[in-house]
Amino acid sequence: MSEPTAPPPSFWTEPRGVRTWLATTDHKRIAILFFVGTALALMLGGTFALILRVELVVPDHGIVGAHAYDKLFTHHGIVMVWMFMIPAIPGVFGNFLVPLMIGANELAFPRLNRASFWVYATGACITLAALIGGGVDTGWTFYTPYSTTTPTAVAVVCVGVFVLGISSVMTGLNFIVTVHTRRAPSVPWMKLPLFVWTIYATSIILVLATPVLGLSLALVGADHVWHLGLFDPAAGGDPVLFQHLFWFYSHPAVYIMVLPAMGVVSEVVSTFAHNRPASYGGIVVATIGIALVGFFTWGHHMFVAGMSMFDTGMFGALSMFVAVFSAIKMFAWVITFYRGRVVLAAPVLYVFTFLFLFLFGGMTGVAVATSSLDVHWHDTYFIVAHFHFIMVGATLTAYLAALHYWFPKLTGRRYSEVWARRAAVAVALGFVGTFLPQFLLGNAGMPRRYYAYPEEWQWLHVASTCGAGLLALGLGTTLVYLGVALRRGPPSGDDPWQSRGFEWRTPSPPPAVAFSAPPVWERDAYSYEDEVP
Amino acid sequence: MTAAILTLAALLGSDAPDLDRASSGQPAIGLDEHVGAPLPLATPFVDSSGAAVTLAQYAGTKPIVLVLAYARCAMLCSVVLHATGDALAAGPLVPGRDYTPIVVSLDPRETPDEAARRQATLLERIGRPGDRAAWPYLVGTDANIHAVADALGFHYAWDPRTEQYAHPAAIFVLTPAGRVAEYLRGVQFPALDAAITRAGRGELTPSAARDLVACFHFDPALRRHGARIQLFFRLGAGAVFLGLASTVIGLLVWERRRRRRG
Repeated sequence: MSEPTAPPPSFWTEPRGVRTWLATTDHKRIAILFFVGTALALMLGGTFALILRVELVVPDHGIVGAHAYDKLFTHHGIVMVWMFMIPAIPGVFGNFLVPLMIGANELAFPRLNRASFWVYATGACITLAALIGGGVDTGWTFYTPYSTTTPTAVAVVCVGVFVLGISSVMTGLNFIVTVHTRRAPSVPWMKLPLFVWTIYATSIILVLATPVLGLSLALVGADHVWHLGLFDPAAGGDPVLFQHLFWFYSHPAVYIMVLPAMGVVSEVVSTFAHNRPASYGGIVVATIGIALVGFFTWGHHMFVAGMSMFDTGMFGALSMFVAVFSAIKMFAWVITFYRGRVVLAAPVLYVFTFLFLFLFGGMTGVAVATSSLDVHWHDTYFIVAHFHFIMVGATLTAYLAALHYWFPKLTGRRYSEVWARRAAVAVALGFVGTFLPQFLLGNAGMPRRYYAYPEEWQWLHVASTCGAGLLALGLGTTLVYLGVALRRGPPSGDDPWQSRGFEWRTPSPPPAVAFSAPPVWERDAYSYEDEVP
Repeated sequence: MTAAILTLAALLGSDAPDLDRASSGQPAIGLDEHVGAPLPLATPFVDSSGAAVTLAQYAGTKPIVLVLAYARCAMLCSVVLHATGDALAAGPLVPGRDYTPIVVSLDPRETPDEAARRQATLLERIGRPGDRAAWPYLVGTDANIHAVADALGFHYAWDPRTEQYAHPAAIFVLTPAGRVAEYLRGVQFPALDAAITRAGRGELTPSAARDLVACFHFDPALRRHGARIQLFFRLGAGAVFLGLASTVIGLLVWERRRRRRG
């Protein structure tokens, strides 16, 4: 570690001017733009969630009516899935770090990267305009035939999400080409940092699956406007076909969210255990395995929608296969910690929370992949709690781990470790407090998407709302101390965590051009052998 | 939303074969009550051991409990058979001694081997494992099955789209002489023993209520638009592929030129 006495002009300050930011093709600045966009989406989606939770404190009519409630949970889902969780880690940390981790100064297509952000912003604006201008009440899944007949603004939201999807494909395409063509000579495939592997695997899913979502939503939007009856049994259509098309994208979308989260965890675990990952090859194989097998599991969303016993069994078994790959990673992380010299810092606390949520959420995933059990839990709060644990909890905690781990890299400053630890504990307790009661509610029979419920479940709903409040407090605190650190945080130095990662071998924050020549890295990104006895 | 809906259609007063839903894609099924009608006892069948039999062999001295079901049925046949078995096992009457329960398969594709496997689970359910005579399970040709079903007023139909028989859920109690004594509708038969006793005395008892439960996995989706949607996706996939390929190639060429210019 070296203290920067006269830091080189960083990408933050050079070149100057708002216009240079808005028109930038620098991957680091685009990452910051994505951070602003996705953080706003997180706040908006979180606000919708808080209103939902406050409504549910009382068993019947609370602060919003039934129809407003329908719109709120729909808006919460749409904003969180397509504006925050899909783009968050690839858009922010993928953009910032992938070139630095492979020894490149930019992505393969810098202008395509700039376009991907502005297309994202356009899609987000269209979607938000539709939500503000009337809203949608279908749930984020747009199930037909209701979505084609509801008088709400389905068609415009479909256009918005379609445009957001185009941004995803642009981002994914750029990463794939970048990893293939822009690696420095000293970074062969099997020396790629694990985070790059996960971004690469995620990009494959983004490019292959997102067009299916776009085409499906195009059909729903067209059906909504022209009443084609494509998915309406009354007009000879098949509503289950839409579910197949929707989940063919939307289940892999879970891995779009979780794979980059796993990449973050691999990096944080190795750095803070000061230890090489227990099985680099195993983690790489598991990463690619999850991306590929994830394409063949979508049917488990339709166990009760009419499916043959054979299909049910196959989709169930393939879904469980994902757990095998996940377990490989889980064991690798735990062994890396066990054999390492763990430094307990805020990113590690978030990783601990990740591991708990991922394990608990994953095991409940195996349970609901068992079709006989799924019949009982289908469309209940159990499912809501399960996917919030595995999808939201894992992604959010990894996102926060990444934000804390790479904050010095992005800004060159340090945040208050004390406040960071407090916030990490609040987020952990808040998240578990929100969704653990929902597992119990779902098991007791509480259906999802209802704004009223029997009185005997009130205490669980109140507990869940208290958890949500604590979670919001943790996230709000994070926003404050990171904002303070951004302005007044002490200099971090180039490598405050004594990481061996490639991205830390450039100044923090990096200059606009990070490498004057292709770097020659003799030691790989996990070379801690001299530290661990 | 599910495309395949189990129609537990309780249709009051459905005495005629009136479930004619063929126009909406649902096969016509129904249950005419032919109380007192004789069954064609001479109709040949094959039992689960492969031996040729007729219903006449089981008639004569004891009332008969007849169930029409089939082994590959994915819907209510198992429920009806298990409920029949439970009702038989619960009462004081003993199958084989006081009456003869018989299953006739609706499915002419069913083999004696399949019949034997299905029969084995039924015999275990009534506590008579291995005792094939306690609850015979018969298979036969389509014409012969229809002959028995028609005599009972039991209207069923093969639905090639879902590959299943649509049929009413009901069982039949016959007098020792082989006449239809009573229809028990639905999937629970708590009054079976009483009905057997009445049939044993030769009494004929028309049903008071005529509710009909259908055993059929109704799939309302005709999928008329499937081919169009498939074409749309093929064209869309082609467009996406061409779009991505031209984007990558175009940008690679452009970036290379830009670098050359310095």
